[in-house]
Amino acid sequence: MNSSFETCTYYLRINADFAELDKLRNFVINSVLALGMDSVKANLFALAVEEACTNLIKHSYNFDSSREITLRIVQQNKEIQVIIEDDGPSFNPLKVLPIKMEKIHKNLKKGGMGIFIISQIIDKMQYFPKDKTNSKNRLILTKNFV
Amino acid sequence: MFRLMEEKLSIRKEKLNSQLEIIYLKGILDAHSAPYLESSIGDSILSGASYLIFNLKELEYISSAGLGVFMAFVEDLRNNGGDIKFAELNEKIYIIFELLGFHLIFDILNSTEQAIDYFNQKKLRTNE
Repeated sequence: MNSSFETCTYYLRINADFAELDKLRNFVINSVLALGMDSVKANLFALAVEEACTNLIKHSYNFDSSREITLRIVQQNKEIQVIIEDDGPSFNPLKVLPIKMEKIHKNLKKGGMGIFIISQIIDKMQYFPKDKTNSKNRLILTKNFV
Repeated sequence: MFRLMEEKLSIRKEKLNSQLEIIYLKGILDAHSAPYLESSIGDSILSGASYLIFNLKELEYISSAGLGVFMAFVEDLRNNGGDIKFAELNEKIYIIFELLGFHLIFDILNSTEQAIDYFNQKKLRTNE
């Protein structure tokens, strides 16, 4: 993946706090609309990003609002990518996929909807856990927008 | 906290009788505002409401945390003879309901009146 800042179009850093979700949502919607995505797709894309960040705040950072999440939105040809970075414990969401809708309905109270929503909206999901050379976990969500 | 939250998610309730309540939601229902709604629904159920109609005409946004609130209550309500219905979903919200297959497990009605009729008919059937 080319993660150089030359391709970086929009950047946001938020604290791991649900109160930051409005800022996050507005950032994603405004960024992808400016890049040419239509409003229906933009709202869904923002939902997918929010679900990923909600999971990080809850499960990875355990609501520690002093921790941070960074987002970069880049456009590559006909795709828009959001690169979400955190420095909490690594968790690869792809490991729990695929999730069947029937399973979500049967376990109404148990959650798991967030990753399911992401998988329904996003065209490609990649995960790179932190390692010796990279101190942050990186989740990349890609959506075709034309 | 709740005063600030009211600006993000407005919850207006209309109690039609001891069991039936219409709840109008307006604004943003995400992980931040979901506990506020959860607490409010809990209050309604404690006061005896078992048939809840959510009018979502003015709801601008919903995430899985918001959807999870309805899921948290619907099983218990149904087990006790009650239910949750949704009415007047706008396109943004309907797309998300459809994405999660919520239209398969919840009744989504075009108008609040239709939802009221449904509950009244069910009550009549129960009393027969």
